[in-house]
Amino acid sequence: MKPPAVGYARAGDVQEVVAMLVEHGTDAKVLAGGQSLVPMLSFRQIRPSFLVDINRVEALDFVRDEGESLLLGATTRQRDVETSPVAAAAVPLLPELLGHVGHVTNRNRGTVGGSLAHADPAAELPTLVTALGGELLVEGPRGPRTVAADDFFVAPHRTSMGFDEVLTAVRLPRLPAGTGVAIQQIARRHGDLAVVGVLAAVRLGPDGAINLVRLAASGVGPVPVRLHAVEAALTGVVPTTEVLDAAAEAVSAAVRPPDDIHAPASYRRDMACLLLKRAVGAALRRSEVSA
Amino acid sequence: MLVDGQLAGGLAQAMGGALLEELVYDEDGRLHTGSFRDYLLPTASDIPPFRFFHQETPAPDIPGGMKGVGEAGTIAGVSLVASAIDDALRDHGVTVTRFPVTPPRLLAQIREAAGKGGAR
Repeated sequence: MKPPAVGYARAGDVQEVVAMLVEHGTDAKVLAGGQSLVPMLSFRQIRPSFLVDINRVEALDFVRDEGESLLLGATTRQRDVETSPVAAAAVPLLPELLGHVGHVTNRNRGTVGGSLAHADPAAELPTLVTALGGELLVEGPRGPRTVAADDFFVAPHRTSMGFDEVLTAVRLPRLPAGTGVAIQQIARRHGDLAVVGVLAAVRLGPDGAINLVRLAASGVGPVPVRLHAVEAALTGVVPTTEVLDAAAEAVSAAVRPPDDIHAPASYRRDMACLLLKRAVGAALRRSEVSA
Repeated sequence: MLVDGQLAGGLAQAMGGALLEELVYDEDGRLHTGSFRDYLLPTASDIPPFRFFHQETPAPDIPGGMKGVGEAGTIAGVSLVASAIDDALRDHGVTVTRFPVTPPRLLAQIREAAGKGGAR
């Protein structure tokens, strides 16, 4: 199908984006890389009356090392982040994680902000910002504000941003040296959205016990799920096979996966448990003992 | 080359039918895989490289000796995938009887066989 007729304007800076969103109200949508929005328009799943194109807002296209964190501008192409040495130095998982986002051609167009604002519960960047406890930088008519990842994702394809707000950047905390990070996911085909996935970051202390752990799962609920209870169970413990088995069991209680044509809820739950073990195991192999 | 290409295309279609492509209807008869987002066709990255070996049998009774070849990959291919899965899971006593063989369906079959004591 073809998209319906829709109004369109290209914004030059963030103030102009916000002004256009205010002017056109709840029927306007922000257009960035268009890798999700344009197919949805063509399928007529959504019928916005107006598109605000932010592709030429150059101030939002950047990869910035802030020392304690990495700041990625909303219109930065996913492929640019994937191949950025600055991004890889601050968040070493990024190239591998972005390799799971569609295909290279999608990532050449697709933006960091677009994936986050689209808020698919199975998508990789929302899972990463959830796992790391990152922040989303949002701008609206009342000025800029910062939203914690846990407060940003509300429901499938819904965020806590107002209709007149635009995502400008995402802040990903840098994990301490020696932390191993890994992502494990199951997709029906290469490049498809994951059916279920788990992201794990783990660091071991000199006594062999875990002294830092961050866990999030995708595709197992309305939003990416930070696995706080499982993190608590693993903190301060030497990660033996028995400990990981028990942690995987705990995942089962922490997720409420959906049923759909690609997989029943029970399969997603079982695979989340399995992938937790694999992701923590892979993260452990990448970690280095910290002093 | 032409024949190899025909066989490769046929095998790709067979692998799609064996592992991915499904018309899913709900109780009211509505199709839930009506677009290529949900009806999963194998893409170039899902198809392994093939090597072909030909056994030629002449067709002297046909003018020009021509024979069809395009469907050779498709027709046998679906059951070949199933036979390979059956062989891989021989120890579990699992027999594939339904296509496509999706990961959730196969896992359920393995568990069902284990419940019956079919597992080793």
